[in-house]
Amino acid sequence: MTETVMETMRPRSPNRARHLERWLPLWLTGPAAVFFLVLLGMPLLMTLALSFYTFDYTAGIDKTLTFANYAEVLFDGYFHEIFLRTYAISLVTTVLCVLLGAPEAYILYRMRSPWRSIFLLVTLGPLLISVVVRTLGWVLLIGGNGLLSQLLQGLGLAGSRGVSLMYTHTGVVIAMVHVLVPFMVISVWASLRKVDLSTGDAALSLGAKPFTVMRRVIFPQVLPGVLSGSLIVFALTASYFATPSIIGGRRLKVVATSVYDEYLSTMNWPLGASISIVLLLLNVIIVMSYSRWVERRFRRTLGEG
Amino acid sequence: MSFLTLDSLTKRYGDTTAVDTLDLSIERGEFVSLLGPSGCGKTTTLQMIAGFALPSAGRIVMDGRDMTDLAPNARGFGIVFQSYALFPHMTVTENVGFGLEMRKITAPERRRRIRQALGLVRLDHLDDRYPRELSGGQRQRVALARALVIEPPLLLLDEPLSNLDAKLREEMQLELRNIQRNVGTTTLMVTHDQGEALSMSDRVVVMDQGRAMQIAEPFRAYEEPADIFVSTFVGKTNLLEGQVAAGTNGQPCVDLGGQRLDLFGAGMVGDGPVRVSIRPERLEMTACRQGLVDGRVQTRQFAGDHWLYQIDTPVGLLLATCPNCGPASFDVGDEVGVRWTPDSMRLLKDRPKTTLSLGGMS
Repeated sequence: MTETVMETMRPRSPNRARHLERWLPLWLTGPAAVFFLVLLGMPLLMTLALSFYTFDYTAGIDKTLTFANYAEVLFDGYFHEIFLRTYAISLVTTVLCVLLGAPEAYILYRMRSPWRSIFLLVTLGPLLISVVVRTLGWVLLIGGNGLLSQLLQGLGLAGSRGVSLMYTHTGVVIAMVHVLVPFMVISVWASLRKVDLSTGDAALSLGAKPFTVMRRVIFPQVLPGVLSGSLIVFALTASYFATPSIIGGRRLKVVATSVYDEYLSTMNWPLGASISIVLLLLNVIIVMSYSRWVERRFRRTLGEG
Repeated sequence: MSFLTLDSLTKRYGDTTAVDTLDLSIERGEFVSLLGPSGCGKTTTLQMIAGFALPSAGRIVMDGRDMTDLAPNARGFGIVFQSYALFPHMTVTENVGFGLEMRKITAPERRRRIRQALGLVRLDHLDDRYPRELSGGQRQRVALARALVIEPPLLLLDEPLSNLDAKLREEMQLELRNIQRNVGTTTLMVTHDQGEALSMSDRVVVMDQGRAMQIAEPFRAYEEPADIFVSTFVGKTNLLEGQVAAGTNGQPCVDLGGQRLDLFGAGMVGDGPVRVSIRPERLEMTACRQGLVDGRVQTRQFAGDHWLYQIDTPVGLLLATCPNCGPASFDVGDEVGVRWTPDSMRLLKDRPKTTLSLGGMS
């Protein structure tokens, strides 16, 4: 097998070698590029086109081009609320993921084997389970007759009607944090691998208290990981569908669920398309300006990348 | 009362003993090196003194104060780590100032002392660089400045020069020692490099398998090694098997495979089998039959300032060095004589087998 590969790869003449050198990258990246163009690029272009079409409740979709959909998304208070709610949930979820995930990653990293692998598996394991299943698990916990409600009633902290976190911001955020915190752990973990932990010892020897060591020495070094982790979490939360739709429901619409409703309840596809294009553009702007800022911030201290 | 005392310091990890009842006293201002092969317990000893590892038994006393259970951030020792452990997200100034900041020293005073420390290591011009913008030698100096700026009672150096290339390492040996003399800080250095330990230290602690095999001034450790391990680890040596016997004139002599050589105060170790250690530079090469033993030159190496010969003789393969004073006098295959003075012989007892196996097990 290896031999035949070597045989075909070996350049027969300088001319052939130059030819291979020039076209090899294209052959290697080609299939994936075509795959993405067809499966991601095409639908995206079609959505973009769709977002400019005209919609009428009686006549349906008409291919007359219009900016009316965008005008509605950009100037209607209803959509402002939805976008604000989405980014507020994203922001809170991201902050909570940093507060939980960064220390979690550090503690896991300092654990001895076999505990380190066991707890890492416990942390990352949920990624193997469908988001819908995990979210429904939260419904069982935080719903009206859920465990949380029963616990609080048992302790006499809640009235006979119980406490439900369903269709509340708190409920959505709790479930989202749970779903997304592994991404933060992975990201911070990757950063920690590059950190010389003896810098912590050095800070201790210079008289720093353990908390100061964390705050002044270890955390700044894993900050790139925290920042890229929060980028992942933020971008995912802003476009998340399953969890907000199950726990937030119709009462707490976010952008993704409102797109879904436009497509499948109202049947106003052009409006749904323009909402998703606006969401995409906003996300791209946020992600790009954020990562440019991060790059500039760390170029001198921690190197490129 | 010495400044720093290690009293039966012991560290056990499960069944293995990393450091075995180590006793050591260091005077104020002294530069002491812990020298030994990897796994001999020298780094563990440093870790215990720094407070990063807790001793299983024994005490660490400094200036009459028991430090054994003190947290590392309460000891106030300056430490230079093998990796330097500079804070990559802080400039040189911020790195050096960190310890002062922790001590709540006012900003103007802090600036003055940072400038002074950077001047000491000749880095004043690079104060706003980040560590990754510095060369290895410069990082080393920053690490030293950061450790010294807090004016520690004790400076701990963990293989401080091992990440530098050979030429820079020699320069830094001199400079480090000069700085240490100037500031007068008591210093303990861990190293596996015998040349480094010999050239820099006031005293050397040669360690093997968790024990101190010899604590002596560098010259003494080299000239009067306590046992076979020390004689082979500190410098190169020829180890010959022999037998102590009574000579013709009643003087004790040593029997090296039939060759009887008088002993004039070469260190008596009683009767029985002994090992004789002779340093390569103490062997003198002569014409055939004019030395104590005859042999044939097996290899010859040129090492710049000296020639290195391996000579096959009846008493074993001998290593001899001759200073480079012109072209080599002998060639490979030449029959030569080798001689040495009795006072260049060191008699060493084999380490008792029981001790060796105990050391391995414990």
